Amino acid sequence: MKRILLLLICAATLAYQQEKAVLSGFVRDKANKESLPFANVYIKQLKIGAATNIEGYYAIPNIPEGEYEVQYSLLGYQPQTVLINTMQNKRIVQDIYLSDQSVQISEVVINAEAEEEKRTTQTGRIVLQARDIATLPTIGEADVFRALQLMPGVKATSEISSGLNVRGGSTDQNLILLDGTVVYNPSHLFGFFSTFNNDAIKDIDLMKGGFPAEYGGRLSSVLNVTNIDGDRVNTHGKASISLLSTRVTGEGPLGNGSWFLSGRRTYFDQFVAAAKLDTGKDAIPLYYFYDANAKLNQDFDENDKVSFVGYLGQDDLKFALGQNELSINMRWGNRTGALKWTHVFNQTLFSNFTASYSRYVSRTIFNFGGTGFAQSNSINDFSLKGDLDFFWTNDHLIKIGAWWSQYRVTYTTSGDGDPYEFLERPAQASFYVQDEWRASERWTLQGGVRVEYQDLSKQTGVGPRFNARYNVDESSSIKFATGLYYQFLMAVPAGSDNGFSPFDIWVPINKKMTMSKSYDFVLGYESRHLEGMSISLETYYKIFRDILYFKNEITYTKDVSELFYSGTGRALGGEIFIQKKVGDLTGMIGYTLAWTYRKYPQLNNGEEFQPKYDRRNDVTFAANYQLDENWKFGTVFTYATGQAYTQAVGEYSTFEQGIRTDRPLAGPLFNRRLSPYHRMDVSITKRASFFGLHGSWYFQIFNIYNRRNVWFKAFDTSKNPTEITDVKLLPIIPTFGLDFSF
Amino acid sequence: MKKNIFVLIILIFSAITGCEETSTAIEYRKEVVVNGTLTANQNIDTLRLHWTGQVDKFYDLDALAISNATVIVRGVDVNFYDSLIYDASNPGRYYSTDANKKIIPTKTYKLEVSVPGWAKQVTATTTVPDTFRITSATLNNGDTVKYDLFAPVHEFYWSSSNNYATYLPTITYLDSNAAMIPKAFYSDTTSKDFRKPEIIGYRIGLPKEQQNSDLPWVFLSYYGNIQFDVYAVDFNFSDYINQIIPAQGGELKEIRFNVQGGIGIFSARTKASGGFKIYLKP
Repeated sequence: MKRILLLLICAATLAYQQEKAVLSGFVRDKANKESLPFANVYIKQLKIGAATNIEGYYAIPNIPEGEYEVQYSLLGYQPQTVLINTMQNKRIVQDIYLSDQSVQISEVVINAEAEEEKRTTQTGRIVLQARDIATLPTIGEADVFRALQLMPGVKATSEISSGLNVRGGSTDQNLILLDGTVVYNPSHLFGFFSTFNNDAIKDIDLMKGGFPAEYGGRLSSVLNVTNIDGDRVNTHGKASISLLSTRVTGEGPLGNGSWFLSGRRTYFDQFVAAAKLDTGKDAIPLYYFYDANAKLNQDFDENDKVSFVGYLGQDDLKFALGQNELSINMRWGNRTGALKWTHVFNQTLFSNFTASYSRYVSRTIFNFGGTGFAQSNSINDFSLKGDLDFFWTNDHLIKIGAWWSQYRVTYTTSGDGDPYEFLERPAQASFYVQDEWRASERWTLQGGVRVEYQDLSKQTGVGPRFNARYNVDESSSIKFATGLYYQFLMAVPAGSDNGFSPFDIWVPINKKMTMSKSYDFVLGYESRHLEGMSISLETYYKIFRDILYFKNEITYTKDVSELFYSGTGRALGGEIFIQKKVGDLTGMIGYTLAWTYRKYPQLNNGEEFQPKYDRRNDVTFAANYQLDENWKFGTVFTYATGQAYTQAVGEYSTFEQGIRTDRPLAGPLFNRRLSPYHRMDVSITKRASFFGLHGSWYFQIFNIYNRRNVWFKAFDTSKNPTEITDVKLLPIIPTFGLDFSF
Repeated sequence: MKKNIFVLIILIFSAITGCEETSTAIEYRKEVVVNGTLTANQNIDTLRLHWTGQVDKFYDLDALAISNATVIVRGVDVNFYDSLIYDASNPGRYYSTDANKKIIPTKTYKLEVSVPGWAKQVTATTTVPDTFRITSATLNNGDTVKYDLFAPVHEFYWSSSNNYATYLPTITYLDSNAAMIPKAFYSDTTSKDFRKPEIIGYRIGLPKEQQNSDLPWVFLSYYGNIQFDVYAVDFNFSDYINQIIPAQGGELKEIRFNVQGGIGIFSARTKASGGFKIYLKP
């Protein structure tokens, strides 16, 4: 790594010392000086440009002598043009501050989008900003995962799950990063909410497939959640009160940088305790969750910036019945912390070095009379990461990086027998190199390779990645992506593919197992021919090898390989995504046609089956209408093919130790469908003032026509004949809340 | 153009929703269900054969009894052959008529079942666990114990067996008229007219090597005379028991039956010597 770094510095210095000029800098928000990722920088006369990276940095090397107009643009901001003269100065550092543009002017949006779209080779990418998420009607409060579940190619097993099934992948196949730190169980309230507080988020970036070599360790997708940096100009805050929780956020300048702090807490437990409903025969459990996000940024000079980002979240459930007769105490949560140093070696060599720590712990203590039972599981991840962006020429952006992680995975249970303890300490290292080559006006190619090694299994994966983009004309393009991906860590689900649960346990593969892998092929077409609208069509084909299926059996083994069946799978489908981002009426239509298959020799007579999260058709329609300055209306309608389930094909009895038990006999796996899922949510938002504070109130109705969608089929053999019941999902739920700033 | 797109979208959506099918028909898979446990040092007392029932019809186990099967148990590594006889007074039950044909610990036995008019032959094999014994307990045989939910739990220990998969500590209530413990863990779920004496509880999921168990008060359901035993059971039994944890989320789980050509359990067990009895009073 040291040698590579030296080599790059030398190459960058040589490139830097060439006769031609270099333009670089940061693009920031004018109001709060926050960095703006994915902004476009374009020199019209030369037809060359760049996009800012996640830190808002850009560089355009090899600019010939002359005077040029440089255009800076980003969706939602007023574009800015700056004149540069490379005859007078060959090392131009130009930091730009873009003004927020609350009213979206069609032409500006289209131009900003078009410029960005012309460059990116990434397929299946969805970028959402916090304000996009906030406008979608939901239950309780805005939630990142619920917003993502509306997007084509992204599904949840149920509306009460925050797990993401992306293009036929299981919920543990997504790399979820909070400011670069892996989050292992991003859920609150048994998976009902995600851990990400929307007030703390700047944007989220989901790559549904064909992701580049700089990401790895998961088979299906990458979700990058970026927190707000904090206002570098003014100190201010905002607060929100909903039926579920209160959220408070503050931010402001600090030294030569900024701070940001956001927290939220639910108060269901306070209501229950105040009403004294937590005691007695019909006691209601005391439950709450809280989380807090913090960020500190300091610029030591124009080339060195340090930031610390932290997250702390916890769920707590207490239940007690009678005089010590029954008590349940559960506590689970994530803690993450990352220290990041951003260093600009010179204008063409940008770097990020991160030391991060991520910990997920779940503990349950159950006591019935004198008999106790305790269970806990945890994963600790200490990681060091380095990423270099080398702006070699106008046509080549080279990225090199390395990532080393040391994990500590534990699981313990203790009851009335001997305690069971599982402990593994695997380490994983990875290295990547990739080059984005703008081969011509029409062609952009990106190639890379990622090498990953895990010490417990002593296995190495070499994953080549390739993306290509062909600009058909000014407003449309064709994209292709392919890659080989590896995964060494798996989640043992507490349920069965229901998304995140506090009892999920992450386990590493061992030397008896083979690392999971997927081959991904994506072909897409994008068009912005219609004014104010973008249309994207994508098809994908994914092959899974050595993927694992949790047996869900009682076992005391410490050999992870005995917990799973190993098999294969494939997923294919097509997606249509139409977005309208300008005007009073904005929204999206998404449609997915998909097939997902799994095959394990030990299951379903060795025949292929479609898992629970296979959905043939999935349609989402979302719209927001801004009536005037004060009133805004929103709606979401979603329709999906019924979930797959396993039907009972008979009933049988066993006599275990003489005790007769009647049970349903499972038929072919997941060969039946529940009734189709559909639901409509609506919202009304009005700007208002509360005691002199500016804000808004909102009223939302989840499931407005009270469709009782089916969660699963229950088979109760204690009834005769067996009672087959549709267990229903949520009914109509209204929500009310206030947001205000101070 | 925009209008055309929206018309197209509505047409596609109508086509999609129109083509979605949700089948509600209930299938039926007819299988032979085997329930047989060989107990070491005893002859074969009971092996049950039934057909599977239809899940949407009244489930009458007696009516599903298979009465005309040929049932043979033969030794694989021991000279043993027993053709079981049907018990017309107990639907589905087959038994050995030769009291001298004892099941020998550590030996392997094969079950062969053929039913006239049913094409599949049903077979299964099991290996009988070795003998072992209860070595000590914090209670003595014949003790009278007062039920106290919050008192320290008692424990008992046993020696090691061989050829076994797991141990099953087991509770049998011996008094047919004993009163139910009001705050018992099972008091809400156990039928009030439960026919005693019968085994009510056994503990699953002990690590294979564990050779002790406690007697948690919460798992006791009835006062009166209670017998405590430990069984060593074979792989077939433990494999079945370990799989049947109800899957969360409501999905039915595919069960691995160690019976070829049918479903059910054909297993073997060995009871530890030194089981003990207590009298539990309120």
